[in-house]
Amino acid sequence: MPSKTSTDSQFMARLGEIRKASETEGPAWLLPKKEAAWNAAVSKGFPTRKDDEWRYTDLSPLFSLPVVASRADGGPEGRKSGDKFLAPEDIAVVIANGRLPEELPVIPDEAKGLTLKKFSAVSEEEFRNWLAPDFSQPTDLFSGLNTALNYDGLWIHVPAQLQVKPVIHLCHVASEATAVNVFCPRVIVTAEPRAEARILMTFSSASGAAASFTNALTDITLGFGAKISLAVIQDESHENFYIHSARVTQHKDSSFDSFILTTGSRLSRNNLAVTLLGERAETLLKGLSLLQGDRRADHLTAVNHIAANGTSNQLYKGILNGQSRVVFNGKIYVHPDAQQTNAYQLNKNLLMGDHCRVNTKPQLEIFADDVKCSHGATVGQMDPNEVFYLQSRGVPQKTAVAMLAKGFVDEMFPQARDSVLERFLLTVNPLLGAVAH
Amino acid sequence: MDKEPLEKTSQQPLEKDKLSSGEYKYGFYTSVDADLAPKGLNEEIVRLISGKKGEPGWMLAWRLKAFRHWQTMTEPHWANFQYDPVDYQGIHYYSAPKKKADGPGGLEEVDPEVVRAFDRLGIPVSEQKRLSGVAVDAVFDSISVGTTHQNELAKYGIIFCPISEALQKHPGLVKKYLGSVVPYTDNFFAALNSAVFTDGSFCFIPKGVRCPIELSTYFRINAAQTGQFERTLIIAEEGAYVSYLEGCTAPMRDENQLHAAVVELIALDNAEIKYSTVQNWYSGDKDGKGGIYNFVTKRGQCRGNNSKISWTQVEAGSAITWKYPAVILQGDDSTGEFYSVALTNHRMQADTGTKMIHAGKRTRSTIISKGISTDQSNNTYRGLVKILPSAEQARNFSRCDSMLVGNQCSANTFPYIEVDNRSATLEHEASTSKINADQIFYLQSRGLDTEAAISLIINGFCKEVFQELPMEFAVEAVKLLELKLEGSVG
Repeated sequence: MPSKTSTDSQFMARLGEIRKASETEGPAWLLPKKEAAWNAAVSKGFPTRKDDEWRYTDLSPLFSLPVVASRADGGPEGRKSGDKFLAPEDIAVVIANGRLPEELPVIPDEAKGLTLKKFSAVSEEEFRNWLAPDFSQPTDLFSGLNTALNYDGLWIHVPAQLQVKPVIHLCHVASEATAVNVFCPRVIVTAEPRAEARILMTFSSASGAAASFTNALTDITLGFGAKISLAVIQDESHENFYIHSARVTQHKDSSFDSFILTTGSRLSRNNLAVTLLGERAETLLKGLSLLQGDRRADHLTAVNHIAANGTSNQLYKGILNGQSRVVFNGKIYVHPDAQQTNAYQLNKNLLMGDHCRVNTKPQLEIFADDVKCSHGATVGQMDPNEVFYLQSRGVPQKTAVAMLAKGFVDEMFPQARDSVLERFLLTVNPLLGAVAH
Repeated sequence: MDKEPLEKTSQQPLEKDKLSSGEYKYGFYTSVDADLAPKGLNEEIVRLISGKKGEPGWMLAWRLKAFRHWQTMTEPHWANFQYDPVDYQGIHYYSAPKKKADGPGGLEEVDPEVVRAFDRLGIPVSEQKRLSGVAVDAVFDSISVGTTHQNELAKYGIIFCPISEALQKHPGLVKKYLGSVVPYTDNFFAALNSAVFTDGSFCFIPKGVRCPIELSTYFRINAAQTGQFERTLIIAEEGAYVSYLEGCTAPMRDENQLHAAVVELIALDNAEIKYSTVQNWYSGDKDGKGGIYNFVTKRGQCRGNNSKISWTQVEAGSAITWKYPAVILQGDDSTGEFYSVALTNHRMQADTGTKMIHAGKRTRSTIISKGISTDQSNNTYRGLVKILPSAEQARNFSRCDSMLVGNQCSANTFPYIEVDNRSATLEHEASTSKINADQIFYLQSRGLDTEAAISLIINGFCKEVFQELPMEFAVEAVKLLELKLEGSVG
């Protein structure tokens, strides 16, 4: 590997020290995978802006993050920092500083059959039946690092026909009472035919927590007719770096939707890859970035239509204040066999700050002829006429701006409110109010 | 219009093979005595080309600088196509039809075969055809063989001549503008072109002049194992206007020939340049054998306030197209436009689009791109819209539509949108779809056969672009698409 800058290799070396601490942890089936992932990551090195997928995001600030390799998890006090997102009716797992709790929650009767298991408790047979495919997927650098540095992962398995009513809430917190600052949470979700579940992932930091780097990896596999919905709220502190890679595999007739809200972290990157492997699969991807200060959010989506009659829809919006910057790089790939695919993509950005920046790169790669694919992108500012109209009706200027900003994002929130959406609005509403300032 | 013969001369081969999928009608080869430089590329060749042209010393020095820079560069491979490596040492960098006598002279001194070749192409280079409303500069392999209407244009102060002639007659103007939009360091092919360019057109419209006729250059590659490296430079001074057309063809050969051109446009205050291209280089046969590698750098600079540059292109030929006509919108209130139809068939690969760089205040740009892929071809739109921090209230609208005809082709869209100023407003939309079966059926039920129906639908699909072309070019473009699509739909 040609050495790029000394800092990225130094950072890799610091990660190597963390790895030493977790090298021998985990079940026997996992250890060789961790070893291989680490070696691959070292030989690959960090991407640079010459890599097309990282064209607009410079990783170098990450390399100057001091890395601490302690194993403390912050204890019960630290776990409380994610409280604002917790709801009593959920099946909640608090993942503090990237580490799973000692005891996983008890599954309530209404979700009987649902399995939550740590990787360390997964048997060799379960691994072969359910988890092996996710460990043999080709990985990019960050998902490889996740495998190599993860202490213990979580496996969520929804058996056939089961509709899990309560929300499965994975509450990630970075707490103050810790020295650890590189978190690599890993989740694998497998849904058997016609299973249904809703998963909420929240990422937040306690005030006063040290600057940290979250490098999450989530794999979701949907069996025939299964339905999974993934909601992510990323509200970490301003000092943090956040990279979340999610890989979704959809079989016949399955339906997947996701909603990613990005508000925190100085640099956040969401890699979302969905493969529509079976016919008639449906995908809906939504993303909302509300950014202030000099925060940066980078969304990379890749929707692969492998089989026929699939439908995918992407809607990503951003409101930018200050010197913030948002990147949207959406890819739709339609395989030659994926006839009668409908694939749509829309990216809209509202620029509020004087020095904010937008880079959008919607891509279509189409190899089948009987398809309908489209993408659109807009970048603009608030219409002064609309603000003036509201002012002329007696609405103060700031309120008018906030109202219009709310109007801009409203179509992302369906009319029917549920407990997951309530938690989105809990984060979104105060930010919309602050847009005008 | 004198464009007529274009269709007429090609009647015979066309009729015969009417249904055998898009026969290339300009594939003939003209046997002429040529003055051919030895194969290969080195400083000697660069000196030889410069010597042949009797260029001033600074020009040779510039070429050598470009050549030395080119040697340090590597061929780019980021575009969405694959091709066999080009052997840069296996090409003749200079090939000129021999004149009967040395020294400057009129068209009568050009080999009559060359004149006949242009007649077959329908290009009026001979004296008696100069009545037509288009001034033509005809470039055959490495040199310009004739430019029409020069005297009439001179009355307006317009200079329209081969660039090698401009280097002798107007060296000051060439020196001032050459390489000011596309420096030789710009990219691999621009550096190569800067070192070895042989001819091309030079066009200068002085202040306040509206060019009364359309200017046109017709490029013809004839000799085997040669490359064509032309350089075009168009300058419109304050308040000037010019409409410029470019056409290109080449014989059918099994080898791949290289065409690496550089086009630079400069528009000063309130000036307007309209540049239209119908590119129909030989694209190779059904199995992808032969055809031109078309690696072109085209860039315009709206240097003055309220200036306008408009690119219109119909890309229907070349085995490989790598072309991104760009506009740098530097002057306040300047406008950039890009209208494109790219049709690929057989195994053609096209990676084309535009770049709009907004620097001035209230600059506006429009992009309309239509891609049609058939057979086993690969058609890519790649475009960049960049709003620099200085571009207050910039505005862009982009639309890229792709149509797929057949299930072995591909259509790709890679737009890059970079906004660094909050007051900008941008809209981008793209779609990809199949030719609509209901529409075909409707037209069939009205008595049209399938091919006529498809041709009508494609025409409608491309209408927004065709209407930007000068009239006779639009007619030619429509015919060209019809010819290319023949037999490719079933």
